[in-house]
Amino acid sequence: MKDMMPKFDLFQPADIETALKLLDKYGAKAWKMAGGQDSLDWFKDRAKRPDAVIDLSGIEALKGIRETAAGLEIGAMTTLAEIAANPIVKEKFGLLATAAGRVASPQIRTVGTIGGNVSQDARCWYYRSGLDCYRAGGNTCYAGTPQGMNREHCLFGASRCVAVTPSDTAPVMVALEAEFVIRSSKGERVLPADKYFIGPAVNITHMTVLEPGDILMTIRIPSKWAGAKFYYEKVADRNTWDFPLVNVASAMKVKADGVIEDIRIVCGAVECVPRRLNAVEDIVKGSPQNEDTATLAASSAARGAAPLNFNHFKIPLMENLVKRAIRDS
Amino acid sequence: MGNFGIGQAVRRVEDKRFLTGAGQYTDDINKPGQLYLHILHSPHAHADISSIDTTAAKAAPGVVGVLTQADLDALGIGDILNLAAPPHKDGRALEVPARPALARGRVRYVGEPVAAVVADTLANAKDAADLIEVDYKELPAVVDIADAAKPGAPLVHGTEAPGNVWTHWQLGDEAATKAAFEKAHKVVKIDLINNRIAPTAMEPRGALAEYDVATERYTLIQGSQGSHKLRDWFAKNILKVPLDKVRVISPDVGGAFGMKNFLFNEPIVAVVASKLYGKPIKWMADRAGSFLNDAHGRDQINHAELALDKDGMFLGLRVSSFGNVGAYLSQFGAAIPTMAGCAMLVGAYRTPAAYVDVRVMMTNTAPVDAYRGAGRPEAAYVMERLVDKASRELGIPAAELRRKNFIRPEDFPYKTALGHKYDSGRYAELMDAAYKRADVAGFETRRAAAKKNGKLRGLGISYYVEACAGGQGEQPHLKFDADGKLTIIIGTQDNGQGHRTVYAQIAADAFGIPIENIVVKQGDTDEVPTGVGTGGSRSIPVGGSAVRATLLKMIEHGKDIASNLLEASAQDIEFDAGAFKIAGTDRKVSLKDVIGASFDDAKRGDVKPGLYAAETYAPAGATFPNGCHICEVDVDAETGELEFVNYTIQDDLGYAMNPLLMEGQIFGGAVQGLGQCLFEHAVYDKETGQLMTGSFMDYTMPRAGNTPRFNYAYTEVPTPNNTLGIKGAGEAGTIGATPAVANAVIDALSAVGVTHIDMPMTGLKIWQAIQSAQSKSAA
Repeated sequence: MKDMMPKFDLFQPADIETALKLLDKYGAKAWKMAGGQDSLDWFKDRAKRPDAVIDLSGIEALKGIRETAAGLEIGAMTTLAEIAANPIVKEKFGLLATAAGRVASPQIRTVGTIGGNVSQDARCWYYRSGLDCYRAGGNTCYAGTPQGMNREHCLFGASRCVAVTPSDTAPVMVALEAEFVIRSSKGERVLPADKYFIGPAVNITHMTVLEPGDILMTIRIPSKWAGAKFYYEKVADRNTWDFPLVNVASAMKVKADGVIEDIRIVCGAVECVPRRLNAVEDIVKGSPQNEDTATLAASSAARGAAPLNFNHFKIPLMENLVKRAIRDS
Repeated sequence: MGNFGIGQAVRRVEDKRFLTGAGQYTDDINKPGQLYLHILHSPHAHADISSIDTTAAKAAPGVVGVLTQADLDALGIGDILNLAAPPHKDGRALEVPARPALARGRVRYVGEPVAAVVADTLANAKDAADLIEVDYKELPAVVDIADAAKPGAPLVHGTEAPGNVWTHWQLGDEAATKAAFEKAHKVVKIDLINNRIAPTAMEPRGALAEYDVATERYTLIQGSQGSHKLRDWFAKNILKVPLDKVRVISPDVGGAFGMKNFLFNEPIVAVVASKLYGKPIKWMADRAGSFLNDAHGRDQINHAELALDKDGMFLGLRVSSFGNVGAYLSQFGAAIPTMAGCAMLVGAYRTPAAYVDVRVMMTNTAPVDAYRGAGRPEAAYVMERLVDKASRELGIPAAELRRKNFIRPEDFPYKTALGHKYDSGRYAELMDAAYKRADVAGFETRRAAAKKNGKLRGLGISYYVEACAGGQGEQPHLKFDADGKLTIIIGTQDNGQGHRTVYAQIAADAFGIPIENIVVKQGDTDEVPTGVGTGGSRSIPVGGSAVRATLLKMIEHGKDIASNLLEASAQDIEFDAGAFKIAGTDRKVSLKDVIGASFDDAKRGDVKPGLYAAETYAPAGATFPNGCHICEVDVDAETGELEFVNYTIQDDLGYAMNPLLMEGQIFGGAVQGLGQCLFEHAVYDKETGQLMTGSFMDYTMPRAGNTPRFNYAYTEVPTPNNTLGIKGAGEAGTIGATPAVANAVIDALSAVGVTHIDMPMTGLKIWQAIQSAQSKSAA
């Protein structure tokens, strides 16, 4: 029955070591809770029933934005509101500030964290409603069937599951070549953003590499793209408090003569992971930043797309967003 | 006018309580020992119930009882009543099908209440509901109008209504209209879908029922739009007990929009269970339950034709509509697509002949009933889109076409071809004012500039007129306490509008006393002797005028007391600025002293003690609020996203009692109107009959970021139909906004060859319309 949270044990550790011990103790039965903006819905829907909830909000070491010699370090528990308003982020990585400011609503951004936002689970409503789909450990995909409602689903990378990354900030992390610092009781490891996110062909029950004993500690943003020309746009059914139908994040370096020297461009909500558009990058590098280049780039943006019954619109939408990103950033 | 009197933008006296969380809504109220009611909804759109096994549920932890309709029937509980029966055009009466509180042998829509569990906690009630085994035999279902009208369509109520047509109703003069069309120079036609809406009040419906064994009396606490109606229905139709055995209390109400007028299934079960189990019973709808079983709104399809002569003058209007009223008749459901709104189809124009033909259809969906505007928004949408289309097809600018045909100030009172007598208005003047404020003259320049930025700019106009605040009267009771505190007792029901503030303003204005000294009581049938309730924008025009009529009676009573105090004849006493004085002299006595004397047998003279009065006031007729909405939008052709650039409203709501609250009504109403136009749509799956928009994730409400900043002004053209000269403001914004926004979208898309789009005009639909227009032009 919905709307009633099942019973669980709540732990609110004050430091990482305690949290890691708890995670080891409960293993797959533990649930890591960051801002709780998604977790509580899972519980109320009774679609996830952890034995133990480890609330990370009391761990100060996971919070805050720090400038380092190499760039910026953002604690995983830093709120989206803080990132959107942070002067350094705004000055150097306006792309991230913009994207963080487009997540959901002011209330959710005030509580929701960057770690939670990039690591959130699929928003496929079949999966969310507790059906036994592939992602939930079952043996079917409801969204991919001929009757399935799949307007929000993927154009690329379907592998039994057709869900997409719903995050507004994840594409930015790939565009900015961010690194994800992960701790477990076994130690620390650092992964580039495009390795942090994983698709259904790799692991159908996970959206990220995080395993039960892992905690995402910090996201490092290297200086490489600081002050570049950025473009971010999110198209959703509503312009606040909604998930993207498609979003685009790009970082571009343009020479004085107007020629695009370097670029990274990534789309969200079209694949299970943020989709880096290598073909677009290759086309525009060395070309002038103008309408023609943008049009040419756009034509290759959705190459290889395999639309489902109800999401064909995402192809031209994606193309148009890429065109703008090249032309208008 | 006093400092806190009529016409002042007084801040709401309610707000401190609400903003500090001190409001008392139904769910804030709890009784010791209360049990919780949970309803099991039908998972099927249409099915026969062969059996319901409640054994396991009854044995579940914490369960006190499980009820089905068989139990209610055994107790002699009445079915839910219907109050609107528009007759067939051939004169036959409308057959009213039975609507039991819980399904009787058959379910007819997804979400129909089937069984009820009462338990010590809500969680236990919900868990036990999962254990009820209902044996359903599924039947074919039909959920939309077009399918229901097809030959061979599944029949929602068997042969009770052949072809699923509940009634085939007509209005107007068919022959005269036919003659008008025969001499037409041009006939403009339009086919429209008026999308189905879920009412989504912020506070879901709820009930707390209690039965007192000693007095054999039921008390029902329920947010409503009028507790007296509910009391009467419960006493007469449901429980079949004398009126005094039922008390209904409506505490604070968090939004109603028409839907909380009605008698629904769940409170009936709560009331019955409270006696059966001897404990207070709490029921609150959750959001999913609200989507499933609140009475929905709109859901019509309309075909309309306008006959014009060569100069663009309207000769006749012919409308043929289908209205979906769902699987059962909610109290006023059948009236909404017929009697409630159709007479407003002629709009603000002199249209000499009109004829309307409506089929009221039943489908396997939740009942449909009044939703903010109740028929008039549908009518305004038809006419204002039709006029816009005529303007395009005839090449006559929209303003000119409207102006030519407007009912002119000298025409009032104006009897329309569909039977209403319009009260007053200065339509052309208001439209001109709106055009000026919206800088329509500069629009083409702005459109060209927007085009350079890749935006399709559009301008949409509507001139709405609607009918409200007529009908029954209201009877308030006003009384002064010895300490000078005034109590206003009235049978209207605030749902968030700020009635207390406005009633207090009217009294403060008359008596010259501070608003703080005035208390407004509503909602409790034990404290308020009579009441008609809130709906149809009637509370301030009718209730306010009734307060005024009552306080004038009190002043007369005060004059009698003052005449005794001043030793003068009552005819020579006048009341002004808080004092009674002898006309033409400086001899006076204060209101305070008169109140004091009214309780003093030695001083008040030969009149009844105390200073109080009750007076019934009924309006002379309906009021016809009207105004011009001008909406300017940018459409992003590459994404289909829409952005409001400007939104101008010039309203005539008669005299403004409180401009601040009036604006609040208009802005909120307009957002509901644009919500229907751009986002909201309650969708049932055609195959399975399942409600596809069962949560806010799928049912798209407008959000602050989707709304324009309204540029608002008003012109006061008083109505002669109530003593305060007020026209109703509660629904006007919703009625004006929908066609204005729709016309703006079509104007924007006309640049790429789009001529038609139906609501809701979502980004996707706009974008698809652009795509298909472009691929057509490319072909």
